[in-house]
Amino acid sequence: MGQIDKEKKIIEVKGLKTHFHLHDHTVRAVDGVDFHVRAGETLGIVGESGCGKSITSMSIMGLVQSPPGKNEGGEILFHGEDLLKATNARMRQIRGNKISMIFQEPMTSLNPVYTVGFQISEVLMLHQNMSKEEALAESERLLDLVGISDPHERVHEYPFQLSGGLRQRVMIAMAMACQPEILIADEPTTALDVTIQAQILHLMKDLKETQNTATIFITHDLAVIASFTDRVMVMYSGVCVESAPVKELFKNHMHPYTEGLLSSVPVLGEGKYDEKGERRFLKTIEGSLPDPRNYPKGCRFAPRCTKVMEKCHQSEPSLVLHGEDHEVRCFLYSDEIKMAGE
Amino acid sequence: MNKNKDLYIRLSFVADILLIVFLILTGTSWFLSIVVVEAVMWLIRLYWISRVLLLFIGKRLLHMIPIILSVVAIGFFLIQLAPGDIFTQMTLNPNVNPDTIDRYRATFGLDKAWYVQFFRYVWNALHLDFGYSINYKTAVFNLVSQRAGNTLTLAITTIILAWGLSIPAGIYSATHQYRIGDQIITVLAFLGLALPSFFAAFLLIYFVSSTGSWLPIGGMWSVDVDQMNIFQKGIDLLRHMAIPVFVLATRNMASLTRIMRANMLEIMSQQYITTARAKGLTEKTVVYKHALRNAINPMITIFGYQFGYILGGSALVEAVTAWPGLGSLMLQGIMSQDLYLVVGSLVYSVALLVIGNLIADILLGVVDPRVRIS
Amino acid sequence: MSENNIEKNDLVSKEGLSHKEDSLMTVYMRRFKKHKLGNIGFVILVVFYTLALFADFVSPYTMGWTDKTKSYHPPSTIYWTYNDGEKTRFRPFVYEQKIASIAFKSYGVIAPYSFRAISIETIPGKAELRSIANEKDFGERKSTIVSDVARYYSISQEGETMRRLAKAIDELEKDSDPDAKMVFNIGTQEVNGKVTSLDIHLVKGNKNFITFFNRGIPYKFLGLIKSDLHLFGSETGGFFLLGGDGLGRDMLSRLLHGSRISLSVGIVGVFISFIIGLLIGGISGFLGGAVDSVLMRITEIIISIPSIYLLFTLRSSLPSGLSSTQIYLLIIIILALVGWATLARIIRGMVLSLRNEDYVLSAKTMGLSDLKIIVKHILPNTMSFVIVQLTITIPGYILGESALSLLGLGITEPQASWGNMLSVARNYRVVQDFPWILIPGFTIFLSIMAWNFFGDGVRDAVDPKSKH
Repeated sequence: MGQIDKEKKIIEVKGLKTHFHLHDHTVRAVDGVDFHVRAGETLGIVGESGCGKSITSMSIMGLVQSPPGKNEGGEILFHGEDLLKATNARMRQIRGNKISMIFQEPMTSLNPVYTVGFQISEVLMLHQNMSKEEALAESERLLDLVGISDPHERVHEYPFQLSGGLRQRVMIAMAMACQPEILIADEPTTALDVTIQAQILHLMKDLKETQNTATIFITHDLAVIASFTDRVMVMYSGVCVESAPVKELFKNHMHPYTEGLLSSVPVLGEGKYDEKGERRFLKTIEGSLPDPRNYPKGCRFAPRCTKVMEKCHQSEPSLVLHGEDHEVRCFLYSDEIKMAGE
Repeated sequence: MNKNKDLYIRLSFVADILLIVFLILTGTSWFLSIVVVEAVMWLIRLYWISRVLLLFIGKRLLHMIPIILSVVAIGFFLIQLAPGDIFTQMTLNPNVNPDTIDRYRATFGLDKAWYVQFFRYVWNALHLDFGYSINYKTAVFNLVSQRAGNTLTLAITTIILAWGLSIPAGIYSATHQYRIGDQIITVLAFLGLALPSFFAAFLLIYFVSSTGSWLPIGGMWSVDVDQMNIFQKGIDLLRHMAIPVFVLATRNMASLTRIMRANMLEIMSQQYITTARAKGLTEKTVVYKHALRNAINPMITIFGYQFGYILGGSALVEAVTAWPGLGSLMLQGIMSQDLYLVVGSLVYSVALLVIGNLIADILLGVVDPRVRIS
Repeated sequence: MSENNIEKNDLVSKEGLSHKEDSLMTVYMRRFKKHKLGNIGFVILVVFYTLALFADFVSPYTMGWTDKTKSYHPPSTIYWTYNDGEKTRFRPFVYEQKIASIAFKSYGVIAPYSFRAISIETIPGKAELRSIANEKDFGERKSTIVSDVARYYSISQEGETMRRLAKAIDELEKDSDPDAKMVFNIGTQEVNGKVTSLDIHLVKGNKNFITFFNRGIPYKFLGLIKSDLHLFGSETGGFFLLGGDGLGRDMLSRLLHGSRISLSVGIVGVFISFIIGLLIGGISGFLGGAVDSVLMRITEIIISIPSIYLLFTLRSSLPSGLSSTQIYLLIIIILALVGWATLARIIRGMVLSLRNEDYVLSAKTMGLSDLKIIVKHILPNTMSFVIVQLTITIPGYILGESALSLLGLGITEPQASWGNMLSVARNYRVVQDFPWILIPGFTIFLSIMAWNFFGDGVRDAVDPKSKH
């Protein structure tokens, strides 16, 4: 049950770069991301909106719109096979089958004119060569698996007849149908009510344990990260700035951005005034994300960093391993500079 | 579904054919026979299949009636506004006895007040008597039905051609956005939209006549059509239809292609298309199975309006290519103040338009589950 | 606290955010300028409407001017340079043509030794003098001219004036310049108490020279200012840039004058439709209830009728034999009556949705009266969509007027409109032999396209959702 096989890295992403070439400028959405996921492990990717987390997952699936997006470097090794060099046909074999994805907006993620059963059956008929009847029966079983009541009736219903929470369950059923090795969940609970959120997370936890699927869970919600993931990668402006096992990250966070993120969560019950009698303000990270068309020289977080040093404006730090499983990209901890092409 | 019901429905189609043949043999025009039989038979079939739909249609038909009545009233009123009537010409002729004119007027009830005429007209209309055309010396109903059939022939051919070409063109345009193919199609669509139908007809006629008259210009049949066998008649009809249909279709295709393209583009940017791709489906399946089904829905509503659009547009083209249709008939009627003819044509055109919209609504209900179930 | 503010402002200026707010209009204009097609449409429209405004000035002739001997004259080819024996210089001209073959309906250039007499003044009610003598023998030519002139002015051929004329003709013939010409004064006449001189052009040769800013047929600019200045033209006639129609009238002049009708109909018609639609749609949407149902029923009925049929029916209910101006106004009103329904529906829809918008509710809670709400809050928001709808409707009206005139139900002779200029094209033989008769169709096409482009540009500029 839920064993993480330390030796088996299912997917390794090295130096992934995905840029968007628009007519008069280039947006460097993902500009050097490295991570790996092991069998049965849940990796959380956390960061502000616009830091490139969604594009990262789309790049893995090969779903980035090809003009204007283009892969500009790096590797995505899935069992040793570089997905960035795979043919379209090979990617189609993998999508929905070996690597699945669920999206943020359950309201618009399902095709409104086909029944729920049909949409799940599609995956089964495509990848597992089932007949229509077999696929339908299996779809029913899957609906039951994800906790939908009356699956026999529901399987003939249309998405608009289901609530947001139910739709997301259907999405999960669809994604898990072919027992994928990796499930990518791109903010699956952000658009749901808090109570439904809890239900869905609970469901995903159960499935994780029974199916032993590796999961990449993208979110900006730190509470979810804390309760649901095994490892965390923090992204900022298209690069990974810190990655560590979850407990390690919360206890011994290193990067100033991570610290900012963790401390900006308001604590309920805190008084209006602190011990010294001074007014408490909501902690924020001053400033805003840099323009992805034109990154400043040096470390991307430097303009907002409270611990910034002179050298931070001159060159970009490299991602360096500290301890057993904790990587940071910051001059506070290492002097290694990021080489061009890294 | 009841197995027996299925059988009955299949058998009923046989009844369709028998009834149509029967009516044609008794002398009713082919157009009218088909329309009446189909209308009745489908109402019966709907009663078996879906009473909800029947109710829906019933409501819409009921809705239609005040509209048609109002249109008739408007037509009546407007025609009466013009000073004089169809017999005014005669009064200028010194050879005609004014008493005769008065008698003519009395026969046609033209000496009574307009509301009296109106009620008389409606009463007769309920008996399918739409009056008498003074110029053509036939019952308006027969005349208009026949001409309407001609216009419908144009309209149906145009719709088939226009939709058959526009939908693929729109899909192609959307899936190859901004590339050369799309650019050409967009430019052509722009040109097609702006091109006035009569001008296009003139240009086409000029082109055909100056390159050797390989198509007949104007009219619906050749002079010697009665000597042709059924196959030759078909070809003759097609050759005569070529110019009017081409002109009508061009206009339609331009707007349809643009709409289809816009629809497809919007649908293709929807989240569920990404989901479909994420499932590993081929791009072809994504476009034709997932995107197209959604993009078609708004087109169905347009289909109903298309009907009215073509009916309206055809009047002009008919006038210019001498196609004996409803439009040119009405024009004739207006020029000669043939009251019953004008009102009859007007009613017919409105009825056709409303039926077109009704069909569109029904189709939408069939195709889009959201409409059906809610 | 103030420390924070200074820091914040620093950030603001560091990131390059502007302080000043642009007005909505400026934003729209800026966005419109980026739209290539919209700008092209705009330029074409400006050109067309300016030409329409100055039609009298730009046309070489007037709308009704006719030369009966030039029926279906083909478009004149312009020769730009003229060699007068010594050097070639810029002096554009066209050749004078006459019917060469009635059977083939073709024109041919007159002989280079021809002699012509053309009247300069315009005698009201009398066609101008155009005498062309191209007999081989000079004596015969002279006598043709003299007799034509004498007949035209009702002067005796033996008289003093004609003898002077004969001498002038001799002089001109002796002139070495094969295209020489002179002005000859016949006499004077009294018109409305004013004494005007009667002059004719005596022209040798077969060329009509085109001059710019010349004095041609007088006109009244906008019905007020008298002038006879034309942008360009030929003093000796025979210049048909776009060909002549069946009655020998210049297509270009008629096209320009006709554009006034065809182009203005759209704008005025839409304006009236807009007012009607605004009233009905606005009242309907705002008041709701029974008023709304009734008004919407009426619009539904109007929309149910195919517009061409409605147009025809309305037109047929009008008496015949109206003056041109009356027909013009009536056509505009008919078009407006056919078109207001769609506009009303749209406006009603917008009013309905805006009525429930939050900012209207907040205005209401602040206590503004209904009228103020309509004027200050709802109208400015609906304006942009309405303007877009208007630009879409105008081409339809231009088309409607053209269709009516084409079929003889619209503008009638002698007034020109692009539609009625095309009515002869219904005879395909005419089109086959004289294809320039289709040019008005082309201008209709261009103006519709220009409005479409312009409308597209406006729509993109105004739509908050379009990508920029």
